[in-house]
Amino acid sequence: MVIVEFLIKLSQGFGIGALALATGLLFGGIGRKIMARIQRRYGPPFTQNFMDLFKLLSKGSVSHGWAFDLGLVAGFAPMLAALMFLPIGPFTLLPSDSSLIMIVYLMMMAYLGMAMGVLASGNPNSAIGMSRALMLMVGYEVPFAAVIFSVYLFSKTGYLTQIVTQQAGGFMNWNIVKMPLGFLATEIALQGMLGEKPFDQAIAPAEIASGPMVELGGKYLGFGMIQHSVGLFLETGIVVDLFLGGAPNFWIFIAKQFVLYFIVILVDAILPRLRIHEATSFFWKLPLFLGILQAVIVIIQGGVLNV
Amino acid sequence: MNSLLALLIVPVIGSAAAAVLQRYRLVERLITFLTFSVTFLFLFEIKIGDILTWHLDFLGKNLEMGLQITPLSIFMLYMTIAFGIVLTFYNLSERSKMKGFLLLLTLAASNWIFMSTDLIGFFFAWELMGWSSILMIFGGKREEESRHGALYYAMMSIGGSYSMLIGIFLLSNLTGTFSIQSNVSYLTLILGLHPWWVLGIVSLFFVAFMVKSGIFPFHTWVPHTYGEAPDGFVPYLSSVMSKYGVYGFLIFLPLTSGAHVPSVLGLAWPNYVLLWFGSVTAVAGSVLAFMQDDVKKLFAYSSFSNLGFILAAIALFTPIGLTAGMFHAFNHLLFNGAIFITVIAVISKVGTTRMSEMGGIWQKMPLTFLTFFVGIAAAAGIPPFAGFGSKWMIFQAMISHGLIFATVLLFFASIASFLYLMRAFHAIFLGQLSHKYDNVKEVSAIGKITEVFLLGALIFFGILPGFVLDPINSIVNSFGLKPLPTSGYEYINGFFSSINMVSIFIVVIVTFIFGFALFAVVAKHKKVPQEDNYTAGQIPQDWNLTPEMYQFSYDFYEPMDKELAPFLKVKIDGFFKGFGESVEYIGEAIKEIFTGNVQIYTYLAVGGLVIFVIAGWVVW
Repeated sequence: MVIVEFLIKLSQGFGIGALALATGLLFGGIGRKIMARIQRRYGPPFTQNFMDLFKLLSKGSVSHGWAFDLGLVAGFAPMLAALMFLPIGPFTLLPSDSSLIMIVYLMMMAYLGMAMGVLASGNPNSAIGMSRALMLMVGYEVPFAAVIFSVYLFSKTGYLTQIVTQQAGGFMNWNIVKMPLGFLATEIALQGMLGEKPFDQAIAPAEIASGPMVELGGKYLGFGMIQHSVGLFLETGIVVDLFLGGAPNFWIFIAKQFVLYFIVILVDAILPRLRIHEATSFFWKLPLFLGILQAVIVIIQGGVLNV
Repeated sequence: MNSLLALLIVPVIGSAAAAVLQRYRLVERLITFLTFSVTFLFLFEIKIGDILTWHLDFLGKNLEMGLQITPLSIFMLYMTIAFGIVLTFYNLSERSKMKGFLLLLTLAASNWIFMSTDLIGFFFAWELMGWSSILMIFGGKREEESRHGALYYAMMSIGGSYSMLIGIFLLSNLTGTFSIQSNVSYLTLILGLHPWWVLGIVSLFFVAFMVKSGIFPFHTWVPHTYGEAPDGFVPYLSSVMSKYGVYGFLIFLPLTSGAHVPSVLGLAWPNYVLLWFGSVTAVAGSVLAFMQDDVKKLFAYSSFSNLGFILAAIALFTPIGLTAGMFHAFNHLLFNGAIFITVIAVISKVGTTRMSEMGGIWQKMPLTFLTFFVGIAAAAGIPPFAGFGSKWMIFQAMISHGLIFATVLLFFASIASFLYLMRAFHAIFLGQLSHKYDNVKEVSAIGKITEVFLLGALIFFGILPGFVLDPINSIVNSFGLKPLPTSGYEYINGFFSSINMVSIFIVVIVTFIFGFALFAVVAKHKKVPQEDNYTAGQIPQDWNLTPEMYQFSYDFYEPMDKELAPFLKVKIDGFFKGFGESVEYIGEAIKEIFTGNVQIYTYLAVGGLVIFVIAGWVVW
């Protein structure tokens, strides 16, 4: 019986992974299209990312040794693992373990793996890119921590599934209404998490030769693309679950995610890249202030839990 | 023989044997290892509640001394001795100047610290531990620097010990006994009446504990000492010896629980202050760590940063806070041990501690590389390795109290730990391999066994945390708090949610299998040497590119310096230096008096007599 259950979960997991990947790739394609229209270009077809991925996975490439291989695989596998704990619409594969902090830390394992792979290549451009990515992370994770804090205290639970169910029953129950400042801080942090302008220092095309991705080609670049697409789905999905009340079905979930991504794209289109230390300290100013203010409001409203 | 006594006597006997046979290095190492193992065997003999008392006639007073096993002490004993076995086993193949007999003396002292029921024994053991470790540090590789490190450590330890000694005398004067238990209950009793007295006495003790654990503002000795100590001793210093302070804190922390003390956010304010010391330590350690180029110093900073996490958690003194703190103490011992043992393995092979001179070692030492990788993953708190559960619990404990600023600071420290861990990982193991390390080889068989064991332990205690949480629950229970619910070895129960680590482990394994399957199925790859690298169209040979030039690891986080500059201006080190200088100045001034001229001595004697008579006259 256990084996049958495991196989069912396994196939469902595959389904979720495929859906998330497809959604992420689609978002990426639409994003490129929107960006092109803003810049008055025609732009690639919105299926371009799918074609790119298939092309990349089928092309031979060079490897810099087993640490490189292992790192790139470890770059997207934990991302898929984290996806299994995310409530997607009404469906969660493993609801009993959907702790928010756990998901965030599992995602970090993917970044750690990716870092290991690209740094094993021995290219200084990827090292510079990685150092920037980490410095940026110490920026955006801090306001996000304040938001996690507020949500935990407000919902009095750490399960994403329960956070979603508490917001059931219409727009006025959503956390975006109850914690608008926290949402604002998250939205800014999301821009940094997704590495879009003005926070694209790590990739920085035309400056450090695409940073971490400089030595990636063929299937390795494909793995990087999988990581990015699934990460896009996961990060927007977390924000939807935290603030936009989850969704009754998969399509509405994707629609809400897309709204978030659309904002990210628009900001990306109009702002230039900041210098890395400016970006980091920016996160420690306005977003952190918003996050902490939100937490203080939650504490005043709800009081501290009785321990 | 009584097994409680055996825990003290066996290490001392071993120490004597090791001291005699010091000249035969391997024999000495073997004796050290065997003594640790035998001491560990005696642990199976003892159980919670065992007690042994004896009386000591001292200056006409009859002092009762004793040893007792509490849930906390047995947890600490298992943890420290087991780690000692691993380390001494590894040291069988290590060539640094580590003196086995001093390590065994430290072991005896540490066992005594954890079991002592009276303050005299506690203080004696504390001093024995302090002095044997100080002597050990003198044996570092760089003579001048290791002497400085040892003296720095000695000065701080002596300061802490004096403080503790004054505390002990004050306390025994008040109560007339040296028993720890009756002193603590006496302090609890008078806390409501004379809170400042109690706090004064307790802080005298806490200074000693803070020095030993490297808690802000007494953290300054840690990098100097860890950086210069003999390689084989550093893991013990940072994994085990920093925990003595934690044990000490836990003796006095029950004081404020249940007492009527003014509180901040539902937390007694002494605890609140202690929590802030912990949080500041965590941040200071992380930030200073990611600016280091010396790998031993980097992990020294990281070590006391983690102690800050532990202190912040236990200062809450709630069930989840205490559990989280003790759990993190265990996990820190484990992952810090793995990290330091792999680091000293690399140092012994490449012969430098400067990270900017290393790089690309993963090609030469794959197993060490993997162990280090899992070690830093655990240190960063990544599931499913050991280290995740405790950090996750610490955050929940902090959040449940509504401590927003401290929580955000700790989160910042946790993310900053990512930065320094990645820096060390990159600078030591990844990137370009210099040609001067072409002959570097993987560690010996003994080293490999140790590394595999640590690797296994990091995963085992990650996915089955119940084996650690069960004893911790009995500790929590012994402090009169309600332990967290348990539901099997694979569960961690937090305040806001609970997690099944086995299911997470399975999910991660399945996704990794899928990842490798995908890797194997899709297009082929061919391996290229590290020189075959993107150079923006240039031909490297044209401008004599060497692997060292193509390795970016020096000043890895240079842009951050500017942002953090205001914080780095605060120099605690400078304060102690200034203090030392003024002591020296006063000493010089006093020395001026002793000129050797008899006439001046006579004047002084007469003057002293006059003052003595006048003072006596005034007083009577």
